Amino acid sequence: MWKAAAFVVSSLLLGGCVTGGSGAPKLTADQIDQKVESGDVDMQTLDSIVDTYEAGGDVYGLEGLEAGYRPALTSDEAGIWMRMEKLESSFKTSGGRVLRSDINTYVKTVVCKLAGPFCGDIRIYIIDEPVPNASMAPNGMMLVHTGILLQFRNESQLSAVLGHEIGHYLRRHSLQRIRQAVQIGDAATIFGMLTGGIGSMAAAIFTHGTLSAYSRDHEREADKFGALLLQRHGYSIRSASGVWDQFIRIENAKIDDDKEKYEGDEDVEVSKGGSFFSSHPGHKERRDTMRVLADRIQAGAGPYADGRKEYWAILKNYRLDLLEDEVNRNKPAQTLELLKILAEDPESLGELKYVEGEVYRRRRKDGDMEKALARYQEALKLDGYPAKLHRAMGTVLSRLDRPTEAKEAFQKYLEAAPDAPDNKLIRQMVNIGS
Amino acid sequence: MKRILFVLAMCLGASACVYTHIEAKPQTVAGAFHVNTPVEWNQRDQEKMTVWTIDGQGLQLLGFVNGIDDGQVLYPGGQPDIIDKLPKFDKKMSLPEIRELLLNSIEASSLEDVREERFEPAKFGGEDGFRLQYRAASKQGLEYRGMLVGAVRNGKLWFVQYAGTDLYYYEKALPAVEEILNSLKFI
Repeated sequence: MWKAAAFVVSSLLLGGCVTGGSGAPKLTADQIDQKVESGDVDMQTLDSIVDTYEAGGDVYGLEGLEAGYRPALTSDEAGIWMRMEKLESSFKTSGGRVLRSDINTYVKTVVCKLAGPFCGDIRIYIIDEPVPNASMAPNGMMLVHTGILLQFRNESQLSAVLGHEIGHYLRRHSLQRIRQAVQIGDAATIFGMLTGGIGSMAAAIFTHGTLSAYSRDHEREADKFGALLLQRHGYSIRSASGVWDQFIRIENAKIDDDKEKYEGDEDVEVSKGGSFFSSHPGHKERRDTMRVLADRIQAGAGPYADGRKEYWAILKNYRLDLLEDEVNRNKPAQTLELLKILAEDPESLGELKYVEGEVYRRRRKDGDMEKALARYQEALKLDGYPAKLHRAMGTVLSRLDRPTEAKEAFQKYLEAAPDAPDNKLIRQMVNIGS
Repeated sequence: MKRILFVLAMCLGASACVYTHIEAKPQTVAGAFHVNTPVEWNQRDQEKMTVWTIDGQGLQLLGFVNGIDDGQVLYPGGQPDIIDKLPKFDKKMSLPEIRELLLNSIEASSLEDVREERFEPAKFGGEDGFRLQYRAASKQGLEYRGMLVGAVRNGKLWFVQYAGTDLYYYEKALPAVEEILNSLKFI
């Protein structure tokens, strides 16, 4: 009964999906799905959809959203926006916000390229948080965790996720979710309304991730949007689809981490899931959809860019810090898989090998110190290893009871980083050892 | 009357209200240290840490930690999801490893953007130990300064941590904190 009621209400609320307005393409999201899956989509159709969107029209027919849109003050949506703006003010001043201008400017530029006339409506907050995630609030506040930036290998992969989030905003998915919750009498919603109005409920839901957990149909629609935007701006959809392969590989490794963490605990069933992905359609489905779209839309045409050099030009300034945050998550199997993925590109392999050594050094299982040492020694033969590799090597050699070599490694650290914050300590260790 | 009783009950129930007055004189703290404080403080006992503050814990905090055991985290009194992220002390750790443990624990506990200023050898209660100085920001973006001075003794990690807002409160109690650290002796 509840399901039936929810379906009826959902159908009513999603009525906005039906195309309307003069000049707009008369296609629903479902019709686009059918066209894509049947191969009945051509460049012209897709272009006209995107053209309509860029002209401020309703891409899939949802009425009411134009560049610079703000909800009417007397609407429920205005209450939600007000609460979101309060939440946004906390992100503006948060100590966890990444403030460096180069990466902010870069991500904003990519968002603006993708969002076209809606650029000014979307505000991006890059948050120093290693859990891979990105989310979009109903009022245009986009949160991007540094952890997800680390997992991209090129600009097209970044654009696929940003385009997906922009899709959520343009289609006002979170508003639809909130209204659905109200309509079907969701307990949390009612509680929220009683305790502070719908707006506070929205803020609470958003912060707890429920609002980000759009329905799977919303996710599919947002994925489609992301692909259309990639096409529109000359990015390779096939290259972007690789991000789902990467997520699959890392998620498979998550099982190994969980097995280790919950070893011997019979009450815990180890499974996949969590963070950005738990509410989304399976990675495999999303990868396959992207590939279908790539074949249909970009077959034989091009060239399409993956933007790898552009992405690396920014990420290289941050990657070591982000990798160290990743190691601190204490998910060794996932980190090792991520390192394998990143090592498929040629840049700064010494840095990756050093971090691999760090994973073993920090894990401290039997034989891990030897593995760490071997990785550091490999890193020394490659480009891009940091000075702190020598300190890590000295630490491992000390653990392995090889004091003379440890002292040499610490000495090299001092030579490579004479102004390091711990130089007095290391100097003392070297002198005591002599 | 009912309201007064309610507030009183809340205070008794919530440890946040349980502060005791510390006079400016020699004191025994956390069942582990003798110190001499030149100023008065307010004391609150938390799990594994005795906290002193003058103006409020959000403004400045001096924490005394009574020996972290092998395999334990530095801040066992936090929320379960935070404790899950904290690295564990290992009695075989060298000082560079302890430096890493401290920085990662501070970052995982509650502060953002932790920046190491200095980590150097230092005496702690007459033992050879370490002193870490750092800066960090709260989740709300308020800038903090902090220091953590300690040593490994009998296989346990003992330390005193001082932190306060960069604006005014860190500096305000710093001379008193330095005097307390200089006077500190193990029981």
